Amino acid sequence: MRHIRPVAVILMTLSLGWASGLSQTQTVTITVNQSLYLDCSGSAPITHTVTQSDIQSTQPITVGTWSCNVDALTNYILSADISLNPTSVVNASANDFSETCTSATGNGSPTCGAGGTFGPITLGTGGNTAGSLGADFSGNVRVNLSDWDVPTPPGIVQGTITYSVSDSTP
Amino acid sequence: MRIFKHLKILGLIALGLLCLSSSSAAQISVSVPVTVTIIIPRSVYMTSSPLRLDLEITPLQIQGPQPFELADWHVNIDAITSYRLNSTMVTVDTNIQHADPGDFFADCRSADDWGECDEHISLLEPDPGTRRGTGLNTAGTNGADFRGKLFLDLRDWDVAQLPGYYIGVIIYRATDTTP
Repeated sequence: MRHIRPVAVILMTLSLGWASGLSQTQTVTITVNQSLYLDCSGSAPITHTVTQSDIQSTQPITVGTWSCNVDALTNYILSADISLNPTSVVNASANDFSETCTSATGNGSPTCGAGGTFGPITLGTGGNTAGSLGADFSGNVRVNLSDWDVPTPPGIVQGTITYSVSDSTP
Repeated sequence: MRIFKHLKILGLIALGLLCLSSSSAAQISVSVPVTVTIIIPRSVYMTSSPLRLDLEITPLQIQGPQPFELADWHVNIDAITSYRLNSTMVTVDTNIQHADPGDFFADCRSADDWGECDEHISLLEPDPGTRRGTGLNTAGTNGADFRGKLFLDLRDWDVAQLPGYYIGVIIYRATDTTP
């Protein structure tokens, strides 16, 4: 999924002495192969076993946390979506899962997004992070059990959350 | 002149391609997948009360209409499935002739949090005679509370040996009813 965005900056300096017949040029080329780097290694795989207390709790319940680090040379949007594997749990669907963003720190004015229920959700936005360790975003992963029907325990609902960072330069 | 015209057209096409190229470059993104697994080891949790009933028959109970009210029962169910609630009774020990679970009855008078009472009152198998109620997923609540009364009919009993005693066990069972 990595796309290359080459940006080349060519600077040519001209000697001021050209008028006298002396000239010299220096060519500088900067190549930026990638303007966004996303590291979500802080978002460990989540395995949550539902307890009686989970059923009694206010829905949705928190089942884990997520955290991502973004290095950017551009404005960006951090988003996430989930895809569920086939399951025997009746009515389990992507929109039973949701995420919040509770923290956004670092360079480039990182800001938490609204989060919310999957389909695609915006977790945050930010800008150029050069000169820092990047922008750190983190929050919670939640699930709402109130619609589920587990006919044959144990029921297992498994999915994959995909975190994406996209260029938002107008 | 004609050559210059063609060059001009080619230049415009090249400019257009350049614009398209730079707009697609703005769509760059990188993605990272993380797996989420939710395991539901049990779909129903149930508690009942009281756990023990010790009652002594009084003259008023013998004189009163049969069957008479013996005690209250209460069951709380936490569920991630649709279910039905049954209660049955078995005799553990007795020295009273003709005393059996057929002399006991249980009704259901209230149910909340997506629970619904059933009208049957028997404690003898099979379903639906023993059905006290039905319910649905209770997530986000403190569970469905089913409440009712336990009744006893003494008209068939013959207490030949004093003190007479009857010891029985009431079994509450929640059964998944997902179609």
